[in-house]
Formats: sequence, structure tokens, C-alpha cells
Amino acid sequence: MAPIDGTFDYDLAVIGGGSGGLACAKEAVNHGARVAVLDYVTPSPQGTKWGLGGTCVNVGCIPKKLMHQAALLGESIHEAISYGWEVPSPDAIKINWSALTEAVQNHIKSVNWVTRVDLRDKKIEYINGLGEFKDPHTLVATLKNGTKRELTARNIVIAVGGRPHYPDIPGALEYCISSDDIFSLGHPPGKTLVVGAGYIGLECAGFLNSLGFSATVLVRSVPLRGFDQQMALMVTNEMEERGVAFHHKCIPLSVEKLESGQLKARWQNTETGEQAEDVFDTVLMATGRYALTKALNLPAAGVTAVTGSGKIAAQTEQTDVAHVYAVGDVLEGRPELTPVAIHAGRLLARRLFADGLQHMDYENVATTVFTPLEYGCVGLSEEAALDRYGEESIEVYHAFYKPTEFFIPQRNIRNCYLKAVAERGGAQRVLGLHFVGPVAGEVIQGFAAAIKCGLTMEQLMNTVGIHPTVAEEFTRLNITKRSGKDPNPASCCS
Amino acid sequence: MISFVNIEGFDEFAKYTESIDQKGPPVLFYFSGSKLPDGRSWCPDCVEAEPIIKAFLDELKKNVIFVYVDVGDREYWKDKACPFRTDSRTKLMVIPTIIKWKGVQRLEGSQCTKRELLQMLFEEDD
Repeated sequence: MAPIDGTFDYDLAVIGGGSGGLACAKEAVNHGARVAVLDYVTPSPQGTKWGLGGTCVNVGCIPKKLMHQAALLGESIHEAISYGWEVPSPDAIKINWSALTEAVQNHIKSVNWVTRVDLRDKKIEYINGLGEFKDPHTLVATLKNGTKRELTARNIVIAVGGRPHYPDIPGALEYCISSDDIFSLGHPPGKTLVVGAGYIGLECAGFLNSLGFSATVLVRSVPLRGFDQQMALMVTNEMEERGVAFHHKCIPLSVEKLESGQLKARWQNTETGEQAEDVFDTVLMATGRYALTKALNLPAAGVTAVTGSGKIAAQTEQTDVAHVYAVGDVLEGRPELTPVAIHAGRLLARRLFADGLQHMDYENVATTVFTPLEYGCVGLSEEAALDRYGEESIEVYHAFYKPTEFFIPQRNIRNCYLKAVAERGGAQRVLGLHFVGPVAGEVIQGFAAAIKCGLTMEQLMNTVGIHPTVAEEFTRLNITKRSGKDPNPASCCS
Repeated sequence: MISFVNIEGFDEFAKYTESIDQKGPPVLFYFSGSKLPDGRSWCPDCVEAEPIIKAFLDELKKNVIFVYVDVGDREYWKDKACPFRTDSRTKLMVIPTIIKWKGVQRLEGSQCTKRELLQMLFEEDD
């Protein structure tokens, strides 16, 4: 209950110490608020847990990028030979999985530490307990030892994020791992089945394959659903050409543990009805994530705007209860990305404690899928643009390209492709940019700012490229899909 | 019970690390600039931190080994090639620094003057 004299323990209580929650808390404290952050990690079905910082730091972006980097470095060692480096016994080069996971986990632990020091230094109270609502202004945190701690707050921000979803099939919970477990797996994963072809499944299959562990992917409908499908195909083509096996239109039926300790997975093709099976060392479930709203006891707060999937509907991060807000992956219909959560969390804190007026702009948020050949994009997919504007009003410029560095090691250029989706009329405002190739995230980031400024194809084509780079290919775009002309490059430098 | 150890210079530091009992109490290294004839360090941040750390340690009721490491004089520290900066076991970027041996935890510069942070570093177990 709101205390009779109107004083609360805190001006702001944040449930969830991840990207969104911490950014909101730190910004609030900058404007003089008294803040508490509740954070708790319920162990994964396999028993994995981690420290403060949320998904990104512990079992998401950070370890993912480090493993992606490890995979790329492994490839570089071999490419170096073609550039003249004398590498002794190239065939003997292999990954030491425990050295890799130790290095990755050490980095994560140091980030956990720095995060905790930062909170303590800023006088933000950190409560390592699972938070739930007792009433609209009261939270109860259950600590690891079972004790409960109650606190009241004038404002509450729900930033609980999500966790991996497990299909309801025999053996899933008992024998399968998820992204929660892979980055600290206590033994090399070996031959792995990845169930799911969203970005998590593809990124994991990608780095596992590059590190030398055979990877197979079960795709229920299409890879990277929601992303531009032409680009998604480039990504999966590249993965296939590198040895990742894909089983399309397949759903898992069961996972059984054999006497050898290996796992026998059965799956079914939903189009043909055919069943198949194979034996793996590891089965990794990457079948989506769900929001952790069930444990919050939202009814006690009076928050009812919860969708069927458990996410919170809050257009301006404001729930249907005046002083209760939500940021990050828990939000319905918003990109599930760290920078989105951070930015929204900060703006929210400013609105609450610094008379801020700015609202989060969720449009044109750039992102990158860190598969072996990366896919970076910002804005609309071609399908979304066609849907919204109609074919007659859209112009798509596209090109294949050949990165300079690929020639000497004879790297595959077949999937190095980019396109710009634009309005057809006038100066042709750019609606979406898509790039498959190396360092795609680095390539796309600057263009996201350009799109925010209302970039047009006229401006893009009048931008002089930096040579030799892969990013300059955006400035060289000149062939439209409509023209039917060959988008393959003649030669570079012209 | 706090055990105090005093170390001077990098070679002595390296030698000491080899003698650390892995199963013994936590070891915390405090890297400081050496003392001038008047008894104070040439490093002003170290001068500020030392009494605060001393007071904190007087009250600490925990079994730890506190190792005071005299890094050396100003010229030695400022040199980019100073082994305290380059060696992977320390990788110091600033003095004073307190490092928990074999852990990721460390406090740097003005962080060493804050009681709550000293508490986090010394009192928490991994």
C-alpha cells in the first residue's frame, strides 16, 4: 500500500538488472532519484546461472560476439597462409573449448564486477532477489536463501527480459541446452543439433561449425522469420556452403539419451510427414524466448495489459497502471535489442526525474545477425516495403560485390550482396538498407544515422565511397531490380 | 585475521606470487608508489587512499592476506614498459590499484578511497 504519509522507500524500483533496467536506474540516479535494482537469475533447466548484467552481458550479445570472433580468428589463421604467413602444421590447428569458455567467462565475470562496483558507487541499492508485486507500490524480493524483503517505490520499472523457450516434447528439458548454457558449457559441444533458425539458432550453429563442431539446424518455417527473406537466404546459403546442414520445414519430436551418453533426436517434416532421426552430442534449443512476466504477480499491481505471449503492451513504456512502466525485451512489439532497451530506459528515467519530454523512437533501428557471413540491416525489408507502399511505388537497388581481401585466399563471394529499398518517386527516400558480408554491423551503423536524417538514393549515390572497403558498395549502387540488369560487378574501381 | 606482507619491486612480487597457497585465504595486492623521505608516497592518490584503507583493514574481521606492493619511484612507474603495466598478472593502468589475486575483482584510483567499494572487494566471496 502507498504509505499514508506518502513516503516510499525508493523513488524508483527496477525489476531486472539487465540492459534496460540498469540504464534506467543509472540515469535516474543522475537526476537525484533514490533507486533500487532487483536482479535474480533462476537457473536454467541444466543448472546454469550467472551474475548481474542481464542477458546481453552474460548469455547474449557479449559471449556471442566473443565466440563469433573466436570462429573468425580460426578462419583467419588459415587465410593468413595465402598471404604468405608461414603457419606450422595448419592441419593441427584446433579450438580448445575449455580455454575459449574460460576466457569468455572471465570477461563476463569482470563485467559483472564492474557493473556491481558502478551500482554501489552510484548508491543504487542492488537486491539479488526475485521480485514480484505485492500491491501497486510494493515489491517483495525473494533472496537465494529463501528470505523475503519488502520495499515500496513511487515508480516501478519492469525490465525482466526473457528466457529461452523449450518445445513441449519428451527429452527437451532433461537433455537439451539453450543459449543460457552454451557459452559456459563444461565440455566441448561436439556434434550439435540446433533446433530453431532465428538469429540465435543461426549464430550458434554458425560459430559452432566454424570452431569445428558439426552443426545441423532444424528450421520450422523459414530462417530469420521477420527479416528480409532474400537476405536470410544468402545467410543460410553461406552457412550451407560451409558445411552446416539444414532441415527445412522440420519440427522436433523427441530427444532421447542413449547409453553412450549421446542424444538421439527425432524430427518430422511438416510438409511431407516424413520422420528422421540422428545421434548428436548436444541438442541446443533456440525456439524463441518468452517474457518473464508470470513470476511478477502483475495482477497484484493491477497491470492487465499483457498479451497472450506474456509480453507487456506499453506504447510509451507506460503500462495501464500510472506509475508502473516497462522497458526492454518484456515489451510487446518492440525490437528485442540491448541498445533499444538502454535508450528507452534512459529516456524514461529522464521523463520521470528530469522533466524530459523525449519518447523512444523504435523505427529504423539497425541490427546485425552475427552469422559467419554477417547480415546487417536498418529499416524496412523488401517485403515490408512492398506491403506498405506497393510495387509501383518502390525501387530496389542491388548489387553483388567482391571484397578486396577475399581474392587472395579465394574466399567465397557468392553471397556478398547488398540492396537499398527506396521510394520510387522524387529523390527516392531510402526505406531500408541490407548488407550481407564481413563486418556488417560496422558497415550499417553509420547508415542508420543517415536514414534518421532522411537519406535519399540521390544523396547516397552522390556520396563518395572510401576505397577499398565493403561499405563503399552502398555508394556504388546503381542497378535496380526493375531494370533486370545483371547486378554482378564488372570490376572494382569503376 | 589479516596477515600483512610487504613487497618491494616487481621481481619480489613475481617471486611472492609463486609461493601463494592456492587453498589458503584470499590474497589482496595493494599497489602503491614508493615513499619519499618524508614518509608519504610521491603518488598523491596513494597518499589519499592509504589512511582510508588502513582504517578499513583495522575493522575488517576476515581471514585475508593483504600484500602492500611498493611499485617504485615516479620515473619507473611512468615508463610505458614498466613490468607492472605490461605483465598479464597485473596489467596496472593506474596506481593505487587493489587486485584480488586469481579473481577478476579490482579497484582503481579513487575507487580505493571508497569504503563501500573496499567492502565489496574484501568482504565478498566469489
